[in-house]
Amino acid sequence: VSRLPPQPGEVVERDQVVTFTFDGKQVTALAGDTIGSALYAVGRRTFSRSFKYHRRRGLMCCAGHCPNCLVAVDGAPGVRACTGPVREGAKVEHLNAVPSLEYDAMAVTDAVGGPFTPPGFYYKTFVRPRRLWPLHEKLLRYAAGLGRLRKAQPERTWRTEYRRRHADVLVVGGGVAGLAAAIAAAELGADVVLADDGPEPGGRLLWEEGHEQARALAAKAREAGVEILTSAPALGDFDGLVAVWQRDTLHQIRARHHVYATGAIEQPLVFIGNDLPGVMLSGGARRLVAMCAVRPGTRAVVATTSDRGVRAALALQAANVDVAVVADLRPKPSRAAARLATNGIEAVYGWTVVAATGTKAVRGAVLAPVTSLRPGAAPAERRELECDLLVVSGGDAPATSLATQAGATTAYDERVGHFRLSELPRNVWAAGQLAGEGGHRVAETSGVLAGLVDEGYDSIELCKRYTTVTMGPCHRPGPLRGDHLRRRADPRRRHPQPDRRGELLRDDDLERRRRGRAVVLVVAGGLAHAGAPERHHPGPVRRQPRGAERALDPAAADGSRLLAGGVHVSRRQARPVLRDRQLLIMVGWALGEYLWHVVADAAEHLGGGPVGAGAIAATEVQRA
Amino acid sequence: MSFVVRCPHCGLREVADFAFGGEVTNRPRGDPSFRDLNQYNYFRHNVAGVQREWWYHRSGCRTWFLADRDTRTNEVLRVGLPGELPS
Repeated sequence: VSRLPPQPGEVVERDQVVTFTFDGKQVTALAGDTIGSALYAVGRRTFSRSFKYHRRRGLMCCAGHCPNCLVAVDGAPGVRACTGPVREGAKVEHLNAVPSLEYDAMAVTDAVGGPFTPPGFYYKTFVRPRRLWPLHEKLLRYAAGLGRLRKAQPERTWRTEYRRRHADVLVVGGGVAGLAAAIAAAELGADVVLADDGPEPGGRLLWEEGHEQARALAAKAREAGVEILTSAPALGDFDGLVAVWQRDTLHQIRARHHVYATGAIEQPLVFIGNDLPGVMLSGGARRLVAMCAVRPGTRAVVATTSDRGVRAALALQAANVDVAVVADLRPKPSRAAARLATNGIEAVYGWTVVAATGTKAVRGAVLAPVTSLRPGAAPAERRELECDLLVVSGGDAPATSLATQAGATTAYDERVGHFRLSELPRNVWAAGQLAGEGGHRVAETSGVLAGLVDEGYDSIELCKRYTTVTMGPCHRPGPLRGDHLRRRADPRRRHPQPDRRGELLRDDDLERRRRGRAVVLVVAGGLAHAGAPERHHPGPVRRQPRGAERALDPAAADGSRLLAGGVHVSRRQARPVLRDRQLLIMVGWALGEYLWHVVADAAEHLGGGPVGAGAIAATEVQRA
Repeated sequence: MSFVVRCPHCGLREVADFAFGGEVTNRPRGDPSFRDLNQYNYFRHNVAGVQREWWYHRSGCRTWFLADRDTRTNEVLRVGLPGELPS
C-alpha cells in the first residue's frame, strides 16, 4: 500500500474507511478517495485496455480529461475512475477486457495483428464478401465498444431537474482566476454565479500547494455573495445560455457577462511507449500526492517542457519519491530549476524522453538530447534510466472549447506552440490560463480585471489595456486550418516520431470538437442510478416535459449490446436541455467511433456536442 | 436560437415562453383594391435589422404585445403593449 503520511491539504479522511469491490476483490479506501486513487494505492497500475489494440492503460491525467481509467460502477459503464468518488459497497468492474484486465485475449491484436491492422484500419474492410458481412458484423460488434449496459434498467427514483438562473456575471472555472473574478464582481455589487467542475473550488491551487489560498478565496467569494456551484461542469454555451450540469440538476444560466476561466489542459509528450501505465502527466501525479496522499511511484523520471515538470519533481521528492533525473526540453535552466540543484535532483537541459520501456508498466525511460532528434543530425548518446514512474509535461494548452463555442476565435501562437484565444465576442471575457496567463499571481490579477468589466470596463479597448486577454496572437489572426498545419510543421513542436499507436496524441482541432466533459445520459433525462437520494434544490425548479423522459427511456431502445444506439428526440422535447439543437443520445465506444466516421463533418459544426463516453448533441444528425 | 424577451407584464423570460406573431402590418382601411389586399396578405418587409413584431406570452400572462427586435442579433430593444410604443 503506497499511502503517504498526511499531506497538507489532502481531501481524504484518515479515520473513515470505505470498502468497495473491484472485479470482485475487496478494496479498502479512505473517504474522499477517488476510485482511481484507491486502486492505485493498493497497487493497481492497469485500469483499462485501449479499445483497438487492447494495450494497457493506466492513470494519466487524474483529472477526468483522458479516457484511460474508464470503469463500470454498479453496472453503469463509462465512469472515470480518476474522478469518480468511492462509495461504500460499490461494485466497480473493468471494461473491455476478456477474461481479465491482466490477461486480455484481445491483446493479440497488438502482439501479432499489428501489420494487419494498421492505423486507419477500418472495420468496413470486412464488408466484402457481402454474404459474410452479417457474421463479421456480429464478431466486430462483440469486439468493439467499452462496457455493456444492463439489459433491464431499474426504475428511476428521481428525475433531472432544470433550473433557470439569471445573473449579472457567470464565471466558469473555480480556479484562482475564476474565484478572483467572481469576488471582484461580487464586491462591486453584481449577482455572480460561479460554476466549477471539481468537488471543491480552487482548481490547480488544491494540488499545487495553494490549498489554503484556495479555501480562503472560496470563503471570501461565498462571503461576497457568490453562488458557487461545485461538481458542476459547464456543458456548453448556447447563444448565451450556459448549461451547467450539477448532479441531477441542469442549471440554465443566463448572464450579462460571462467570464471564462477554464484554465489549461496539460499536454502529454509524444514518444515510443507513451501509453504505458506509469507514464503520467505532472498534474496527475501531483493530484495523487496532494489530494489523496498516494505515492505515485518509487523512482521517477521527469520529462518536461516547462516549469510545471520542475515543480512536479520537487513535489514528488517531498512525497518520498526518488527523482532520478529531470529532462527539460529547454536548452537552459529556468529560474525555478535552481531549486532542483539545492534539493539534489539531477537535471539535464535540452534533453527529452524518446521512449518508455517495459511491458506491463514503465520500467525505464530512454533520454536523448533534442539536437540529435532533428532529421539528419548525428546520432548522440542516449541514457537509459530505470524508473517506475515517468512524469511528463508537454506544456499547457488553454481550454478554449467553451470560449470558442461562445464565439471567440483562436489563433496559433508560435511562441508557446498552441492555440490561444484571439478575439472574444461581446460580453465574454477570459481570465487566467485560458487567457494565457501563467502563475497564480498573474491569474488572480487577470481575474480581478475580468471582474471589473462588469463595472464600466465594458469596451474591448479598455479590457485589452487592463488585461492581457487579447495581447500577442490576436493581432494577426490567421485561418484555423492553416495554423493547425503550421503547428504540425513547427520544428520546435517536433518530438520524436510518434508511436503509431500513440492514442494519447491530441490535437487542437479535435479538442475543439470534443467537449471537455462527457455527459452522462442522466442529464438528458435518460438513465439514472437507482437509489440516489432526493436532493433539496436551492431555487425554483421545473420538471422536464414528460415526453422527453419517455423518449429517452432506455427501455424503449432495443437493448443491443452497444446500448442500442441513438434515441432521437424532437426539437421540442430537447428544448429544456439544448434548445434548438436536436439531441442524439448514444452510449458505447463503438457507436461513438461509428458516428465519428459518419458524421465527422456534422460534429464539427456542433459547436459543442458532448462527445465521448456519453452523448452527442448534433444539429443535423437524425438517427444513427 | 436562444434569447430572452422582456414581457411588459412579467419581465425577463426565455424566448421559449413566447410565441412569435410576425411583423406588424398595416391593415388596409376603407375599400381596398385587390392589389392592396394581396400586398397585405402575402408580402412582408423581412428586414435585416430592427423590426417591430407581435409577440404572445404563451406560457405566462397570455398577453399580446409589441417588440422591436434586431433580426440579425435577436436582441430585443423595446417592448410595450399596443399603443405604448412610439412608432
